[in-house]
Amino acid sequence: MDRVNIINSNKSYFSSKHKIDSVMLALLTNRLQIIHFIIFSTERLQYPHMVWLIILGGVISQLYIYILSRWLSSNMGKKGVIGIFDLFGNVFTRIFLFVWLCFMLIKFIIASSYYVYLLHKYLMTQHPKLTLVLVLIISIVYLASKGFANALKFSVIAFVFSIGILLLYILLMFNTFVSIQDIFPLFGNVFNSNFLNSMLLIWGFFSGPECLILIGPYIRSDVNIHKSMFIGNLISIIEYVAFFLGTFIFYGSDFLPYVQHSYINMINFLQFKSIQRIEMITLPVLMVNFTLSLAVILLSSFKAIVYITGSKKIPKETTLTFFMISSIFTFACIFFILKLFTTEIQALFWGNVLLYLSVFTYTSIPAIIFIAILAKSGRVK
Amino acid sequence: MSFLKRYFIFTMLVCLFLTGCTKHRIPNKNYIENIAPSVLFYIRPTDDDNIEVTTIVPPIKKEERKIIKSEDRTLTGAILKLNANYFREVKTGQLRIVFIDKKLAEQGLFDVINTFFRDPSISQRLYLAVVEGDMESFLNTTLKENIDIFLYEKMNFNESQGEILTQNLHYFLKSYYSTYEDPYLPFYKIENNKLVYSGIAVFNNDALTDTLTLKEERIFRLLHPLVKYHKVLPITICDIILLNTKTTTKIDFSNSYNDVNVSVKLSSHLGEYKDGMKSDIHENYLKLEDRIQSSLEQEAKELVNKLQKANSDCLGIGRYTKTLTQKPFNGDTWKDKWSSLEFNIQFEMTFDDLGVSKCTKNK
Repeated sequence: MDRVNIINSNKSYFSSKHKIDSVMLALLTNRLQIIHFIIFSTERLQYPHMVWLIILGGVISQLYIYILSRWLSSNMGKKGVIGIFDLFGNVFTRIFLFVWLCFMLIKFIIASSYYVYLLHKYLMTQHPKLTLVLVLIISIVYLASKGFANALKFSVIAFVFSIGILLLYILLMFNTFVSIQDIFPLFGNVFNSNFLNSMLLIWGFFSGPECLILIGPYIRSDVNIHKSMFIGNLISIIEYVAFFLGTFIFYGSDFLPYVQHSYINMINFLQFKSIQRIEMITLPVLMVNFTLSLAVILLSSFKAIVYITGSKKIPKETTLTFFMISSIFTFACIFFILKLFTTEIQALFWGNVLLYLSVFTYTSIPAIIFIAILAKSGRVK
Repeated sequence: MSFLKRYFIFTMLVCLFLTGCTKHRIPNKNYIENIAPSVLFYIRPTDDDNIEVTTIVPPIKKEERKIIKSEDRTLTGAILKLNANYFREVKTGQLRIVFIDKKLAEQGLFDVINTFFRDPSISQRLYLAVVEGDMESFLNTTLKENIDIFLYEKMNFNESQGEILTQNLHYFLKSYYSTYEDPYLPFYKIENNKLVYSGIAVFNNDALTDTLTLKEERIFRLLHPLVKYHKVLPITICDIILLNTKTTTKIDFSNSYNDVNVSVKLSSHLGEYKDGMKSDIHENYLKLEDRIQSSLEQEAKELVNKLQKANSDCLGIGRYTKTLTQKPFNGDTWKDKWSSLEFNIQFEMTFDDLGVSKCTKNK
């Protein structure tokens, strides 16, 4: 058993016998993107012809995926954090990792709080938020404690569980009073006054793979990284387009702006003979996406912290540091959700903060790495 | 030892998750003995502009059932006040049907509907209906027959395959917010202390403007572009019943959007006929088709005139002005256009089956 858990502390997180294959990498990319889609939700894209912008965003995202995959498949990227030291040098790496860590911490906190907020709003309205956030964070920490390779493998489970929800949405399209006219006009002027906001939102939907810059050592060497990540991004595009047009068919373009969180609200309409409130199952099941993405963020942050603070070339990754770091994350989350994330207005505000943050990180991190790789290869020559 | 430790931690966690933290606890003990999840609400306005809510309790238990009601300025206030008349807490989580009095519907429904929409515990499949007459005495006399659950089952069946139109909260709101459509609700009357389905209540925005009779309701469904199957279709003019009718509706607008061509193709089985067609049906069916077509066209024109007078496009004709590339009407412009629209309605009727018997015996 090369799996690492809290009790057995001597083993390293570098255990590399179990590595993820191409399918897992594709699904991982897809699941990291989908949590942004759940949080930001599509109602702000008022018109059906914005679907072309989603496709455009997806195509640009393929470019960024290409940069990331080039980094992950390079010799430096395969070494993980050490590769970043090779790329930037000692001082710049610490600065880079520190800034990256700050962003990831904020992202971790807001994303987990937002999920708890959704759970609290739609399902357990009178339940204390503290218990809900504890359930989420304990599942994240448990998954993370299993080690990087095992946490990444969870992507298959997360995908299988949550793709079922998309299939449920298809049932909604077989209703009697559904007409294709609701998604018309499909062609129109996308460059309206709302263009910039829509583009930011769509770019936010596709963000997420920037958390993967440290997973290089856990990918099997025979995997075509670019192809896998490309397919993952493609699944996201298909999923977004299908869901986006589905909301228009279900709600109509005039009712949609009045609905909040259509991804969760739509399922409310479904009723079966055996189970009538299907959203009681689907909303908690969405947690697997959050658990996976946030566990990846937590593990990457853990690595970053260990390497920033450690003075030696390869510092020791002990259970104690992992435990301390995850408790820092946990307490930050609990403080945040009980003090700064209590009202609906604050939820809107933090949702926007997360959007701008995701847009910023997804734009800048691959770009910085790309420039650094270019500079490095230029210097070598 | 390690097993004990693990067991201890597990038990502690279970306790924590099940109980929550006592400090933040809101008194909300949903023991089944303490709550009364209502299935049916009847809402009517009182003389002094309040809203009165009537419901039947207990919904499931085998106790003596009774009607409780209360009134307040707001709907939620009235629902909360219901608890004062009963020893259990009335909950809305299982609410399935809301009957709304015609007078309240004439004043405007949005405030009532919006209250239901905002509550996440209420399903969007909540059935809505307008009722005219003394609903309370009807409920009183039918208390013991589990009338609320009976009505819910009836509407649930009719939504999928029945002959009574139903409307739920989601589609009501969808057509209310839509710029191209107006909502409609099924209309019930209390006649001789019985609840009788008697047509459709037609809305302009959220206010009831007219009601359609049962005869008009059939034509309404024939014309509605999204209702494509009719199990039974009586043609009143010549006592003919059509079975298993399938319709395809085609809606074309002229370039200026002043005229609209609605052509409906029907194909149906001949069910029953009483008229003077005692001779061979196989020879006369062409005449019969013509007669049915002209009678349907006549009735459809009257219906459309009535809807235009009521200023309500509950057929959703306006949705068909949208094409792949353009959306000619914005805001309220379609609703201004609707009442002055020129309709040209054509029915094209074919029998795809005349029944098993070859011809009727001449007397």
